[in-house]
Amino acid sequence: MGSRSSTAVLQVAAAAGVVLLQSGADVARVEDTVSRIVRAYGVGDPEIYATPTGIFISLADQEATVVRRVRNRTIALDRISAVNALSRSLAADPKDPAEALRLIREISEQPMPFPRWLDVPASGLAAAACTMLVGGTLPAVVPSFFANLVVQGGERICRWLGLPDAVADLIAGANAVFCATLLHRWLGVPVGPVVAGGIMILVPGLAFTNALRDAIAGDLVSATARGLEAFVKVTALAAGVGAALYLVGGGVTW
Amino acid sequence: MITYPFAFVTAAAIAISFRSPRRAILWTGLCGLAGWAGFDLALRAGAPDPAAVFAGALALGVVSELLARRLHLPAILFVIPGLLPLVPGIIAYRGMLLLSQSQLAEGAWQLARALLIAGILAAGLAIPPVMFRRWRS
Repeated sequence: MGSRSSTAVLQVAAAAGVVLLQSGADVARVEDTVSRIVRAYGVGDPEIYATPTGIFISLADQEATVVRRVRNRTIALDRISAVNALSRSLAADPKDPAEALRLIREISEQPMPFPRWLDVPASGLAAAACTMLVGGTLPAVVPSFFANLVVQGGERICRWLGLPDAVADLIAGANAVFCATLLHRWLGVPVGPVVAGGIMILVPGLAFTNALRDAIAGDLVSATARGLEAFVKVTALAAGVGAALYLVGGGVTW
Repeated sequence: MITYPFAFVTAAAIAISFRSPRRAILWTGLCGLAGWAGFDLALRAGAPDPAAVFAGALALGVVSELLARRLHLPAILFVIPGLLPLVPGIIAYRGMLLLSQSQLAEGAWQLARALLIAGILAAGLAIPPVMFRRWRS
């Protein structure tokens, strides 16, 4: 294959890498998948450098390189699984690069596996269940579900308005305290576990853990970036909760 | 034991929010349950917190790898939502809150503990994929 087709292959590999990074995959997986795609076409040995904010792929002996910047990151497990399946099918049968590129674009535009409206109730349910895991009692679960519907809904509205993530987190943290305090005043539900359940979903515990997973895999730049992202998030949340606790006159209660 | 079903619900519900494929949802709940059960049983057996988290991570990792092979899906689909019940979010958050209220020593201690637990979780999760590496799905 000439250098023209190796450029096309790099485009395919980069598109797959970008979808994976935007969907929250770890760097080791991204580099592994991208390398598998490039090798499938037999255009040479790739050098790949991925971070959560971008990816570089180069065929060292052909002076062919692509760079892609990644800005928006969420967790979209359906896309990770679809790109993974595609990379395996490409390894078995390398399709025309243009066709592969079209399939990748299809993956990045594929509809959510569940209706969009289910997102907020599902997060609220997860938060309510978490209330029990952090030491809540059974009567707190149902009120916690409704409180966290409000918190999660508010967070989605903030993002929809285009507020920076840190501001959305700050508002969500404050919102969690206000909702829990209202529940406490009306129903006598203890505040602590309700806030804690909601916080558990918002808090970047996952991001912290994934940062350390990258670090263990040796991807130190990625680990640092993810760790910092988590740190900003937890700071914003705590600031929101702290401010709200001050306003409603509470303290650290659990 | 009463907490076990809630670990299942937490993982399965957050998997919906994380856009997991439909056929993976209930299995993801099972992974959350496995991790939480490993943690809880280790605590009951008298293990200290960090060791219990390690046991939970191992259980989660092994069940995730088994399901990944059985269902031909990447293990990360099960690991990420399944982690949620074990993750030290509350501890990190409590640490920041204490710092914001000028309780520096206690706050720093909580943050260090969160980091330690996250590290142990990550270490526990790093082991099962190596155990299963030779067994391709």
